[in-house]
Amino acid sequence: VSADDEAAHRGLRELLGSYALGHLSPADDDRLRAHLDGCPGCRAQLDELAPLADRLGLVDARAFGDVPVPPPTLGEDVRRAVTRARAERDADELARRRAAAAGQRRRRWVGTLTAASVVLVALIGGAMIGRATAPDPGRVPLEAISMEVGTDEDVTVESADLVDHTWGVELRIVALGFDAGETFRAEFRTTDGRLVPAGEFRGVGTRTMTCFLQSATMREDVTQVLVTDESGDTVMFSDL
Amino acid sequence: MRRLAPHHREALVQTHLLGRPYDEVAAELSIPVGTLRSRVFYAMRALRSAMDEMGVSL
Repeated sequence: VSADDEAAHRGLRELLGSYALGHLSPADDDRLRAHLDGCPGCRAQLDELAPLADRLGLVDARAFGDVPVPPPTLGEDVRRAVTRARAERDADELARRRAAAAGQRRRRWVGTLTAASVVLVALIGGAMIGRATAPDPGRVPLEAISMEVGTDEDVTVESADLVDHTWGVELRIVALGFDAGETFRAEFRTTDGRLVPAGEFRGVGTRTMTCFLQSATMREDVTQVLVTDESGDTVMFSDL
Repeated sequence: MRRLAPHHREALVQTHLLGRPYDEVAAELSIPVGTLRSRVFYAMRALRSAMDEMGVSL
């Protein structure tokens, strides 16, 4: 069998799928049928594929209507982007070397002045970088919880959140209306029913108060958050 | 169907499930019509293998 014959045979064999699904034109249909008469291998393939046509008829097209197809130019786009980035990097490298050489020449003339400027820039830049990269302790994942205030309490909760720390749990409350001067106690109820203290705070009346209360209890063990007044009455709580 | 390679599944979905003309689908995918027919063939073979593996009788 010559290579041409082999390629022609493969071309006909690859029509079998479309043939089994009834997609071929009458001319291709006839051509393939003539081939099938003399090719037991292709007939065997067709026997395997033909039953799929009925099954495919039962498939809902909408379930596959959004098959993502990469754009045909994706490969070329990636290659172009890489080439462009590489060229830019090489150009930057050249510019950097030129700038370094020019800087060396200038330093001969203004050595002392430049050194002073560099120190100044480094100090300011260092301070700016330090400020920009310093960790922000306030940005932690907050879990908002809904605090239920007792009916005869005049407390308004603006926000209440839990923070799941590696070392325990923290309650952050922004609220107003806690009686000025009175001491309030925050507690976490744990899965075994115990009440674990999270700290105390003093009420400031109608002024808004922000309070961070912490405990070594782990977040996953907390089932309830409770705030009580000096007489032990519940001011507000949240079942988790 | 979900076990097929994306380009095989796409060939079957577009040509058979959605009933779109081969030349239109091939142009959209920027491939020759012959390649699309070939994808339909290999998609069906892969589908047959997958169904055999899953024990689906045909």
